[in-house]
Parts: sequence; structure tokens; C-alpha cells
Amino acid sequence: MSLTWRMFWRDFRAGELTLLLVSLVLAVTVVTSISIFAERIRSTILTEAGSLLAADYALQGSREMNPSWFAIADELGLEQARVVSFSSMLFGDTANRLGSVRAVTDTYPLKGSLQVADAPFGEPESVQSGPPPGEIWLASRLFPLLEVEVGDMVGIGATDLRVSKALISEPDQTASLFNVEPRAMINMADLDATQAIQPGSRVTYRWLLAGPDLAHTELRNAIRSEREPHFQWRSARRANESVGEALDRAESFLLLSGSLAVILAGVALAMSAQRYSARHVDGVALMKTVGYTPNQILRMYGLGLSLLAVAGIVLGLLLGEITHQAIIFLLGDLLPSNLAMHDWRSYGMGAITGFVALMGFAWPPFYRLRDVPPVKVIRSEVFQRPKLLWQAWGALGIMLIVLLYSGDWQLTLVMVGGGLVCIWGAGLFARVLLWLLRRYGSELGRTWRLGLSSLQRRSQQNGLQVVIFAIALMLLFTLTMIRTTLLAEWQQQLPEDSPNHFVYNVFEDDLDNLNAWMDDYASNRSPAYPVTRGRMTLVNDQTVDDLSRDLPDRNNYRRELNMTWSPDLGSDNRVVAGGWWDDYGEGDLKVSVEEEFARNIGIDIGDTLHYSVGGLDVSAEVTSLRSLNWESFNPNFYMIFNQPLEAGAGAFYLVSFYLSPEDKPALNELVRSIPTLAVLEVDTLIEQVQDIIRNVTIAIEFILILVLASGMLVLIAGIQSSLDVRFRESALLRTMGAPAGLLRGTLWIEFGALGALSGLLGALGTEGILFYLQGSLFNMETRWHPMLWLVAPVVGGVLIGTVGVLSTRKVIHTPPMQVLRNWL
Amino acid sequence: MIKAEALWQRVPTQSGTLDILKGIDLEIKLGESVAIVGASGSGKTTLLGMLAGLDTPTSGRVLLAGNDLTKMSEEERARLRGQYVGFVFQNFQLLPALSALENVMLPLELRRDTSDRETAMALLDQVGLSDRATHYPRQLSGGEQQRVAIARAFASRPPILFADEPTGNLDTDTGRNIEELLFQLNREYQTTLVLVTHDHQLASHCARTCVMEAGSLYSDRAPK
Repeated sequence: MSLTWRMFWRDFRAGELTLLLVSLVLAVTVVTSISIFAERIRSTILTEAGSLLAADYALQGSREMNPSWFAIADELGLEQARVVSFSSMLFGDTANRLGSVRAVTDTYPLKGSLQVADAPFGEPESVQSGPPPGEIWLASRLFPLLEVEVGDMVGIGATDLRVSKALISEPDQTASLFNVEPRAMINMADLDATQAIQPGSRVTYRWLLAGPDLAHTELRNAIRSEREPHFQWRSARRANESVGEALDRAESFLLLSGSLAVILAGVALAMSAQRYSARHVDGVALMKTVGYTPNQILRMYGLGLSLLAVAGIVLGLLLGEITHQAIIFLLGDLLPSNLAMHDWRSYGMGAITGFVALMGFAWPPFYRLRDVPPVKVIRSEVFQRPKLLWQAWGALGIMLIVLLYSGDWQLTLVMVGGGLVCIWGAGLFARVLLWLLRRYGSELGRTWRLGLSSLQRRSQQNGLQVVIFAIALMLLFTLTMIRTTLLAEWQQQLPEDSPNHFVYNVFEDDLDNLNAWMDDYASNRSPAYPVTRGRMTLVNDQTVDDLSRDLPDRNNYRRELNMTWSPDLGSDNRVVAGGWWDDYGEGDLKVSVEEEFARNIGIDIGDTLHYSVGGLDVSAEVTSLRSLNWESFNPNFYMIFNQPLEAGAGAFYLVSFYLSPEDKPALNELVRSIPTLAVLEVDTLIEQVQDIIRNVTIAIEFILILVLASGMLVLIAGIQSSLDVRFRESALLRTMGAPAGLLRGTLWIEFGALGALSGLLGALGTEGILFYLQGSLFNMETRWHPMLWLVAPVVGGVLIGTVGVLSTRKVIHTPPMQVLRNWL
Repeated sequence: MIKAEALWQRVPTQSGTLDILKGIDLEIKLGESVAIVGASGSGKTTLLGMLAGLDTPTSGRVLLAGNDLTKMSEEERARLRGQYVGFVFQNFQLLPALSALENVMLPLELRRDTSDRETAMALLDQVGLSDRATHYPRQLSGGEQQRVAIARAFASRPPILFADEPTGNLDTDTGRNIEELLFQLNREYQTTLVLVTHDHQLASHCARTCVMEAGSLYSDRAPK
């Protein structure tokens, strides 16, 4: 073994390289485990989101699809299923009822599962395919309406099918929200026999697909030219807005925190490499005097670092895998059992990060050893000025990692730019603050004086430390705040007792009945909204047809809208322009329009809208615009009027409420007592969404812990880097008779003050970053956080004080002789 | 062997430029032993650094074994040092992570000679430390550390030895022992010796003594 290797080995055993290795291992571990975990959670979430569509992608339209498309999809290896939906009369022995029928192929559903029961409102079980040929499944409430039981025959069109199950839920039921008729499901093989589909029937065709995104894109391109405009693609991600948004934000958060963790570990790496190389300057100078050339030095340290890289990366990958396995094990029941498998890319990501972090952060101080002037052996005061180039190199390293990690240029630039601004700005601020402390802190007691003068002596180094601590704290505060806001927002969005049932098609005569039932079983219920359907025809004197010509969601404006009237503003509605009426029921007809709906087609306060309601023309003046929360599962309307629409005689009522799972069978009673009533059960959907949010929450908490660990490492690395000087000073003070208590107090004050300063700076940076992130990345409301300014210095002081005093306690307890001998 | 011509060293300070070396001319012949004496801050250590090629002057030139150090790159100077030069320093400069033996082997490593270990052991024996070969610097006293440093300086059999206050950090008795050892080995290996010191007793062992004062080589005279 050559001397060089011996030297590295002994440095390693003496703990000189420990912090460097730990930082590297942590960087790789964090990235690998976040990468694996995020990837698995993401695909799991996507799978769950997919179950909301019963597929990854769906093509929907009012005409039959060209069978040649199916062949293309087959060739591309995509899984397929088809669903045909139509309305048809269902005939029991003694009663009949209009039902919404879905004919499904045997492969349906591709994602998620159907819930069926052996009796209406019975205990649900999951199945992976629809009814076999010859059978029909009916929604629970159809049983009393048709007066049938399981085993009876039900007529549909020209054929009879046997009722074999009660259909409790379908994975993709959101797709048909507000479908008035109760559902029935049959096998696609029986569709022709029903002869229910005749020219002119209103039929919806859905073609479900599952498989890799790439294959799907190919398919999309292949049929693009043939696809008529009324066929619409839907993707799992977009199938449900609230889940989609939660997913996007969670992903942004994971990426962001992963990047932050890497930067933090990188900073720790840079500092420990700095310290290592600083301690080697003298040795290198000596080696140069005996004839080692700069290139030999470079090769030697380069090889050493490579060895460290290999060890660190291998160890990090291993730990990353173990960490993620441990998390999966610990979370056990909380995670879905069918957690998607991760691929090898996650490991590659970890390894690349380790390498780039090492090159970006640890290599520069190592490289500088090459240029150590040999004359340093006789003139120790020779100072080697760090080159600006190296800071650029470090910044480039950070950029590369963040970019690799997030794949997002904008985020990368903001992070790096923000970081640089922070370094320069904070450096200045730190110096001013240190100066103030020094100027006015001197009138305090002995311990304070010593502590503060220690800060002052190392003002250059302390300035740098404050900056690094401040950045670490800033990243931690930012992450914690974002996480808290995100979680709070999600929880608020879907509290435990969110309305999970909608009841509609209830007419005025039945309202008392409904109210009595709700008094017994339902909670968190909305007011009963009268609903009438109508089409908007003109905005002032321009037709809606013309105005909406170029809008992507044109159909939204041309279809029949649910319209209501109310004296009160809904709890999650907010007037953003104009004013709400306080003279309900009086004067001319006025309307309040949903903000986005109005904005897209150019409706403004004071405009006159014309509607066709029940064949009659109605016009109303727009007096307010409202924003509302579509994710709240409350009944919400584009149009609310200030008085009942006379033209809409025959309006029905719509109510939402929370019904606990135990009270679910009571629905039977309600359905029997109000025959026209329709129920929309979104409880399974809400559970799905809550499940997803729970998963994302776990992922976020886990990653926050990893990032906190990186942050602590930075603090420790920062403190370690000043350890040598501290040892010497404390030994000197002790030889002069300073008691250990005084020294400990001094350390507390020094680190506490450093921490408090860093905390204050961190709060400043956090506000800046949050301002950007909340505004653009997470689409949340931006606001100031006064509490942060109070809490941050305290947290910083306590945290850095504790870490500082703990990691320097050796300074107090090592015999002064031992320390001084090494220096003299 | 060594020749300095019109050597100037200027450094900018807050109160204008400071001349550390002011046009020094010096020639040292093969096998000669020269002491450079002077007060602290007179520039003698700077001159030593220039002569040994550890540093480059602002102007003037240094020839070492016929090579113009000022025209060489750091890479070339390092190779030249490995080939021609040995050092003994005031603060010993042993690598703490290497044992006594390994410290002596350090310059030999560069030549990739298989007899490294024997050569180094023989030298340690010569300085009387063969039984401390596996000890680390922190386990040795100051005198012992300087013996190791001397063994290392002679290990590669350099034609020229530079010594910077080799006894400056030692008590008088130990200092005298080191002094003896240094000159004994110097005679044995017939090395050209350049010694920087403020100790006139130490300087008196050299064939020639130069006095530095405020950046000028004030005199260059034969010993009394």
C-alpha cells in the first residue's frame, strides 16, 4: 500500500473524512430514498387516480369508435375496455322505471374495482369485472322502485336479464355526476339483444385504455386525423380536479424538498471538504518541498476522493433502499397494498447526485490543494485567496442537481438565483448585525462579553457561518411552512364530515318528508336549493354560440345549466365583483355568475343575460360575480338568481349532506318514501380522495424528516469547521483559569447569538421564497407570516445553540495541555 | 550550484509597497556550507524560499544546478526540488498521519524505488531512532521529531540541503545535539548546505556566513 493510501486510510480512521463521507452518504441516501419513495407513491397515486376513471386514459364521444382504432391499440400493447351508456326503461314484474344503463366489456374496469352486494345497500365486495352475459346489476335504489329482488328477471328493451347483484359503486362514477337516473349494468354481449340503441338515441361511448404513456401518445397520434372533434380524451390525472391538483402540488413539493435536501447535503459536503482540505494545506506544502508536483498532488487527492465517492455512493444507495423499505414497513397499513414497484432510475438518480454533489461541492476545495504554495512551510501567513471561479463551479453543481432532480428550468433558476441573492444579501446583513452586537453587547456581563467578543474575533468566518445557517434554516422553514399550509388546505378541503351524498329530483311536496328523514340521519347538510334547467342564449345582444366559438370548453356554455335562486350566499362562495342582494324576491330579475365562467366568455357586471328556461325567454342583469370552491363537494351553481324563476315551474330541490356508513341502509327508506328522488353517492369517491391525500401527507412528512436531517448535518458541518480554532482558544482561556462553566456559557451565547441571527435572516429568505412558491408553484394565496419572524430567531438560537454546544463539548473537556502541545 | 542575481521581492501593503528583498546577489558553490543570519523580519527566510524554488521573486533570477527557477513552472520546480533539494524546518513539518518511518520514506516514494524501506530504516538508525520507527509524530518529543525530519531530508540524497532555523524550537542541549547530527550527516553525504538562523553559534559551523538586514545581504564574509 502506498503512502498516499495509508494517509487516506488513517485520516478516515481518525474521523477526518467521516463528516465528508456522512454528507455524501446522506446526499445519496436522501435522493435515492426520496426518488424511490416519491416514484412509488406517485405511481400508486396515479393508479388510484386511474381508478377514478377506471383507466389511465379514456376517449369519449357520442358516436361509435372506428374498430380499426382498437387494432392499433392492440398492436401498441394497450389494455382496452369499452363502455356504452344510454337511458332505457327497465321493467320489473309490477313496476317500471327509467334507468341509466351501462353496457361494459369483460375487461372493464381496467383500473380500480366495482363494488357489488348480494342485496340492495348490502355489505359491498370488490369485483374486477362487470356482469356476465344474461345478467343485470341494479343500483340499490332500483330494487324498491322496480319491486324486484336478486334472482328476479328485469326487462330491458327487447330482452330479459336476471338480476344477480346490487351495484354499489363503480370506480368511474364521477364521470356521470348528476346523472338523474339510477344505474344498471349489463354485459356488452347483451347490448344488441336489447335493441335499446336506435338512431337518434342519446348514447355515450367510452373507450378505456391502460398502459404506458408512450404507447398512449402513439395511439393518440395515429388516430388524430380520424378523430372527430366530438370525441374527447380524458386522462386519469385530469379525471378528478381536486385529486389532480393535490397530486400536482404534492409532486412539486416532493421535487422541491428533494432538491433542497440535496443542496443542504451539498453544503455540508462543501464545508466538510473545505475543512478537510484546510487541514491538509500544510501537509501538501511539505510534500511539494520534497518534490511532489502539483499534478501528483492532484492525482493523489483525486484518487482519494474517487475512492470516497465509490464508498459513499454504494453505501448511500444501500441506505436509500433500506430507508425506503423501513418506511414502507413502518407505514404498513397506511400505504396501499398494491404499491407500485420502482425502477432502477431511482438508483441512477442517487448515484448521479452523489457524483455531481461531490464534484460540485467537494472537488473545488480538493482541487485548490494543487495550488498550495510550497513556501507555506516556512511562511505560514501566506494566504491563498479563494477564486470566484470556484463559487461559480459550486453554483453550477447546484443547478445541475436541481435541474436533474426537478426537470424544471424555472424552479432551478429561482432556487439558484434566490440562493445567490441570499448569500450576498445575507452576508452584508450578517456583518451589520454582528457589528451592532459587538457595539452594544459590550456593556453586558463577563460571559456575554467573552461570547460576543469570540463572535467578533471570527467575524469573517462567522459571517459565512451565519449565511450558511441562515440558508439551512430558510430552507427548513420554507419546507415546514409549505407542508403545514398544504396539509391544512387539504384537510380543510375535505373534512371528515364532508357532504358525501347528494339528493335531487325532490319536489316541493316531498320536502317535509326529506327534512324529517335528514333530521334523523344526516348531518352537515346544505340548504335545499331549488333547481331548474335552462340554456343561456345571449350575452347582451351577442349569441352564446358566437361568443364561445373559440373556447375549449364550449359545450359548457351551450348545454343546459342547473340554475338556482337564493337569498343567501353559499358558505364557500365569495363575491369578487359587484354586490350580493339584500332585497331577495323584489324588483327586476338579477343574476350572480360564477367568476371563471363569466370571465372566459366575457360576462361583466351590468351585462344582460338571456336564457331559455322551459321554452320561455328570461333575461336578467348581472349584479355580482362569485368565486366558489368546486372541490368542496357542496352543491354549487354557475347561475344564482335573486327570485324564483317563474318560467322554471316544476323546479326540483337539491340537498347535500353527510351520511355515516352505519346509516347508509336508511337510504332505502328514503328512496321508498320519495319515489322520484335520485341519490348521488360520492362517499366512495371522497374516501378515495382522502386516501390519496393521506398517502401524499405521509410522503411529505417522511421527506421533511430527511430534509431536516440534511439541515442538521449542515449545522454540524458548519460548527465542526470552526472546531480547531475553538479548541485552541478554549485551551488558552482555561490555562488562564477560566472555569468550565464560563466557557460553556460563552459557547451558548456565541452559538445562540449566531443561531438567532441566522433565524432572523432565514425568516427574511423564507418570506421571499414563500412569496414565489405559493404564488406560482402551488397556486396558493400569498400572505405574510408575522409569527415566523418571532419564532425563527428563537428556533434558530435554540437549535444552533444546542447543536453547537453539544458538538463542541469536547472543547471544554479536553485537557488544555493536549490541545496546546499540538499547536506549539 | 546556486546563484541568485539581482533578486527583488516587493509586496503591496496598505501603506505602499514593501521591499522584502532588495536586489540580492549570491553564489553558493558545490559542497559549500553557508549560513544566512539576521534579525526577525530581515528577509532571510524569504531569501531561503527563493533560493530553494519554493517561491518566485518579483524580479531577478535564481539558478539552481544550472536551471533558471524563475523560468520554470511550479510543476518543473517541484521535480527539480525532488531531485536536488532537501529541507529541515524550524517546526519539523512531519505529516501527522504517517509514522516516523513513513515520513522518512515520503521523498523516496516519488522515485518508486523498491529499497525505500531499507534506505529509510538505515537513516532512522543513523539518527538513533530505529526503535521508534512505527511511532507517530505526536508520540515523539520535539528533538526526536527534528531527527526524523533530518533523516527525511537526507533520504533522497539531495545535493543541496536547506535548513530554516533547525534548532529554533528546541532547548539548548537538544539543539546542540541536532546541530551535531546535521553537520555530521552533511559531511558524510557531502551536501551543499544553506542554513538560515539567528543563532551565531550554529552559524559558526558553516564555512561562510552572510548577514541579512532589512532586505539587503549586508555582508558576505568568510568565518572568523
